[in-house]
Amino acid sequence: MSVTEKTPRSENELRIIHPSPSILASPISFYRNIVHNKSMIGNFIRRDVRLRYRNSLLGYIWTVLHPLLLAAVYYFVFTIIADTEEELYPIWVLIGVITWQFFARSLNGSITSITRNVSMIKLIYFPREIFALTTVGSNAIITGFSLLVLIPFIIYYELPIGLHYFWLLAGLSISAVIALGIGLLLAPLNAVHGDIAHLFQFITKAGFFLSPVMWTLRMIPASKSEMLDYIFLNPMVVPLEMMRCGVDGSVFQIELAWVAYSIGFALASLLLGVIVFIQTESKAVKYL
Amino acid sequence: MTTIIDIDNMSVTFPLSRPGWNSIKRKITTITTGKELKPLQRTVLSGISLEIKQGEVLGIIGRNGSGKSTLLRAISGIYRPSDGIVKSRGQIFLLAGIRIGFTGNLTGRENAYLYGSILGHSRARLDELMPSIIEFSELEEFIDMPLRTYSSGMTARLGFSVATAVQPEILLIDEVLSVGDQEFKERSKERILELVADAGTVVIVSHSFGLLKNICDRIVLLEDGCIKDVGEPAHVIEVYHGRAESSLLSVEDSE
Repeated sequence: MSVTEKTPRSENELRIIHPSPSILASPISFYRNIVHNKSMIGNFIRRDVRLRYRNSLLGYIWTVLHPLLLAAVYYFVFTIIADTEEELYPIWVLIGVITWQFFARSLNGSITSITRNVSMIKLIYFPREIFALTTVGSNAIITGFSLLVLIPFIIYYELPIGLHYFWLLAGLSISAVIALGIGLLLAPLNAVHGDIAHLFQFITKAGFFLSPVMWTLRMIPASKSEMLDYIFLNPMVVPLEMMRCGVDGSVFQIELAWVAYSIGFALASLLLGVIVFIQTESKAVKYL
Repeated sequence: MTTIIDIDNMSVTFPLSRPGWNSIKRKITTITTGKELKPLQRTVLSGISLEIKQGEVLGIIGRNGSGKSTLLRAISGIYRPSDGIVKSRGQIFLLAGIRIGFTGNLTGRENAYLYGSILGHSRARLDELMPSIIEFSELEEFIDMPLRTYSSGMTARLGFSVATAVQPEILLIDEVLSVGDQEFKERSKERILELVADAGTVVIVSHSFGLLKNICDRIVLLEDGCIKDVGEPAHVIEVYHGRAESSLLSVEDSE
């Protein structure tokens, strides 16, 4: 059989397996593993996206329908019962739900990335961080599709169209990095103790209410503004607000220090997650 | 000849119990009483040293639980050694499971692309390989139907065709695979023998001593996770049956 092109892994380089990988080399090998396995990552993401709705009647429509229905429920609760006066409330809650769903699915999916793929892990070796990466990747693509549901709202509310869409990318990126970082950090531990996945099922549910998903910072009464300092400790507050500015074109007015905190939290959790994952996954898979 | 796989004093252990309250209690007992408690782990392989040369066909034999499969998995990277070092040069392919990542709701073709990319082939390479994969699997028009509609034999044929589509540099085989009907079994055996003949380096775990005698340059006999003997196939098989003395020392001298 003729080999017309070089497959990434056929490089004739020396591969050395030590009892424990070096801590400093972990981020580098993480990066290299992504570059070397682009084709596999792409195929996994394609599979996940295809499978998500393949055996349902409405198919892709569910990506849009689910957040829409949820948003309708919150709209009912807040606008009709609690009588919120914000005109843009429906669109805020919709984008909040979409963003949080992306975050929760990516995080819970990454945490269970080792335990969900036991059969594959035992039969073939490839860098196992790919499972978490593809989970976040496929959720990002599905979220991209569901953001299209906002178009009719943007037209109806006559919202400005322009460069502020950049905030959507920023908000999604920060959420993705936090989810991937914490997911990688905890996936090996979850392979040893399945309690972690249960705990985070709860945390992502509680976080839904504790983060500005169905409320916004603007809805906090002035008398309770001292609470803001605590609210901002939640690193998801900044990306959620970014997503809202990305849609309604309003000025992003969170203090720079909190933005830096959120981005720093994301990057630090990714770095820590990568190091811990690469250091411990080989021990964790022996519990499978 | 260059060494392709170099295993140096490798051990692989598996933990027996999950870390938890018990292990904390044990730690406290160790610290307070100074008693060394026996580690809660099972040593599956210990002190394995093995050099495999380019072009060599190495057989591994041993009773159930002697660590044959774990040795292959340690070479391929699935299990990291607890001690010692494994060095290898070249693309390793472990022929063990042949339907990795298979998903019922994807078509045969989609599954073939996914499995192929897991094996490390690029999309362009798979585009090239796909006609021969479909031909060897004999799936014809079924290739674009969902995998869940396949019979188990058809699934196995597809998996086998993808797995063996490309000649790897280092081929690790865990037991001889028998899939599909009688006719396909013959063809798959032929294909494996072809792969073995052309592969750079082969490590094969099997219980069919007749096959091993024919294709292997050397055989390793594992017993309780240690190498009991290594060398001339016929002789090591005799040792396995208890009809000859281990020649471990004399073989190492002659190298």
